[in-house]
Amino acid sequence: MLRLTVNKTLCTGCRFCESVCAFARCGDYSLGNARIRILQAAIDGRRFSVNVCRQCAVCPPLGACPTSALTRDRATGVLRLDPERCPAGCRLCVEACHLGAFHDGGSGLILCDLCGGDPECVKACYTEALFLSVYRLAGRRPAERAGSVSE
Amino acid sequence: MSGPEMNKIAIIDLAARTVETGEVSLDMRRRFLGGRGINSHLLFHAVDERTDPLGPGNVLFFGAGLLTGLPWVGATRSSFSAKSPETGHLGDSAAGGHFGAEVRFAGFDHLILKDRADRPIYLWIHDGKIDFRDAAHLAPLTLMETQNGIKRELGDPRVQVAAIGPAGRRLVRCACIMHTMADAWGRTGMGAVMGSKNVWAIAARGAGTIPLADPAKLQEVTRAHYEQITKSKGFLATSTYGTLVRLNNTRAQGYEGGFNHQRNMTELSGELDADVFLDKYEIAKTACFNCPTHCRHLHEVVLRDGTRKRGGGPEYGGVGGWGSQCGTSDWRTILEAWDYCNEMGLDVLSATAYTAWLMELYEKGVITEADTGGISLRWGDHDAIMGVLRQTVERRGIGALIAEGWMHAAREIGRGAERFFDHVKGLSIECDDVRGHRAQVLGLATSSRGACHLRSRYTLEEFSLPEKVTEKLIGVPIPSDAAAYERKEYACVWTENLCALADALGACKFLSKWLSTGLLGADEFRDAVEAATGIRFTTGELVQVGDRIWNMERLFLVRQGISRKDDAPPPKFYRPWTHGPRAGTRVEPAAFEALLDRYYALRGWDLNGVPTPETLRTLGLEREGARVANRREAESPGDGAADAGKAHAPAHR
Repeated sequence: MLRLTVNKTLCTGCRFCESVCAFARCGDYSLGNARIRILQAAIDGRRFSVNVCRQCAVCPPLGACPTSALTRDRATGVLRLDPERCPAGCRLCVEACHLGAFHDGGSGLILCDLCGGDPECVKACYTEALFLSVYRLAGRRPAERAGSVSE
Repeated sequence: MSGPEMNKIAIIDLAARTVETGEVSLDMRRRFLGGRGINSHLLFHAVDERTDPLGPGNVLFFGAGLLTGLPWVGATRSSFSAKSPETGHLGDSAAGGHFGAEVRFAGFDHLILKDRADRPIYLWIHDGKIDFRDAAHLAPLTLMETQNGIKRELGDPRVQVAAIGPAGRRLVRCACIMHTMADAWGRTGMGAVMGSKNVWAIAARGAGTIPLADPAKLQEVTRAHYEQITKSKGFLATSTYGTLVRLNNTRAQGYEGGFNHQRNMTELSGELDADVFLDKYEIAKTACFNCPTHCRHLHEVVLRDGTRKRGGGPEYGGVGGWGSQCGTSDWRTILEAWDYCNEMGLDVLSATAYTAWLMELYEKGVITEADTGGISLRWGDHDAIMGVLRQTVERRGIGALIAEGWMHAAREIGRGAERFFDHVKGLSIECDDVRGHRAQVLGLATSSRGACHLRSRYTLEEFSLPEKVTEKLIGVPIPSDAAAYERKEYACVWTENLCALADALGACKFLSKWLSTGLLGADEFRDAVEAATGIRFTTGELVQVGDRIWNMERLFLVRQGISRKDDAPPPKFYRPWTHGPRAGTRVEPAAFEALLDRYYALRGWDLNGVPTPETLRTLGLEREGARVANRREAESPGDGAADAGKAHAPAHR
């Protein structure tokens, strides 16, 4: 199973990941379509917050979603948000997610889907603050690159 | 084609508190692109030679580059322009960060700030709207506190703020506009203009849509440019050291400049080295919007009084300025001064030049403790450096003079003090001493906003490139010998056009051929512009836009009475270098004048530095040219026809 992993110590806050994410999905370019968002609460902060879905094995929003709009793909283990079944204004997942992964898009909530396994943001991140790692859902073995992950 | 949504311009009347929106026409885009280009055009028409820079008649322009905020590499920069309170003529300054992009996402490309608000306000730009908000409560705050306070007040951590600090609010003439910890619209005193308008900050946030002409093409172009930048030879150095890379270069090659340009090399300790900074003080790297280079540092330093302080930067100009120019190699002093300027909103390059100037005046006995408010301005002294800066921001002691600009200070001090200040067209020169690099000397002299490394410095001269390389790049083989004068005018014009182009597009010069031959140039810019906006240019046409911007600015200067006499390096450059492998090198007056003649000819200007009517016709600037010509005619003495139009009676009546 794939997951997006973040090493915050390497993030420079350039937001190129936001740009390419927003851009990869539609012709018109708006950062409101980005499924990954970087922010800095105080300008003298040392680290940036990277708000994106990490495909957690234990996903609180999965249990919180009342309409089953949020599901996990059995084959790939990737979480998926079905906009058709996501009622406006519910936002229980937004509250349940510890990582701030659910974002307001142009029409409803949006969530990272790993671009089908080859995420644009990972390709764009020069400092490799974003990378893909592999984990096993069943065996609960530590992720292969866990040693280098800060979280 | 790009839709009109991405072309909004807001005309903000601060006195009436009204906002009028308009659109930037396609014709304007084709002629001036955006950013500095459109700013310089609008500024020319908005003010004239009599406008008081700090009066309500001055107009402050903000312009995001044509590509700023787009998913292209390093699309970060934006410009503020106005008549400069520091130099009295063209004021214009660009900065990176995230502000320009955010203003575009909030719905505007250009902002025009007119008149003056009756009490302190800040502008809140969001989703195509502009609100006027009270700012009086920001009065006691530094720049960091101001920005964080506004972010909290507006309840959104993604708000980007450009603000002035205490220096700008007190109308110190070298005050800058700041964004984040170390992105500054620094030069030419734009912070003082913003302060004079009672606008203390501009906050922006938006998720607006920017339509793209050909998204697939832009994606392809961006990927190619990304590869080009990150695979270039200098990438490791620029992304590790940032601009500090020049600190070691200038030192090793003997033109670091020291003690207010009295010497070309100093014998300060080896502490003043980029690696020392990286080892001891740097804690992280940050980047501007969409930029892989992450050249900006974040540092933490324990000051002399034991307090721990965090700041952004520093950049080369500040380190060299307080380092070799003011004679210190103590990083703690440099970082304290750097952070103080950033928190107060002082332009670092001006602040360093003023400090070094006062130190030389003190050394020569032109000023004493009686003038300086009790500070002993010994070279390299921590208390002297901090004392000058504090006094300037607080407008007391010698700082009261400095706050009114060096020209005022020199007049007040008298005793020939102005001879010791190194400037071009009123703007101080940077810390490095480039008199041995002829294209750079020429660039320094001809730069439109006054001495500047980001308008006309032919950086490539320092690499002694083979003629074959420069011929391919510029079209003319430039001698690889830095000390040669031949054909250097071509290098200078090429650089000036490239820089104007980059500023109009919002591209960073650190990612352009300004810095290294392997980086982005006019060809790459052309591809990005076409993919993003659908506006087709040939490379030649695009370069001509740079030429047009340069001539537009020249017309502004001509109207201010600036001419050949002002296109000169500082007098110290005519004296020989004192130290190092190239000791004895100086600018030879005759050779320089000949070079300047050739430069004027290449630009299509007359021998007095005025663009000829043919040149202006080629560039489509006849209307502006005619305005300037009328004004000059009206003022030239002894011209009967012009005299008839004057209000006062001729002398012989």
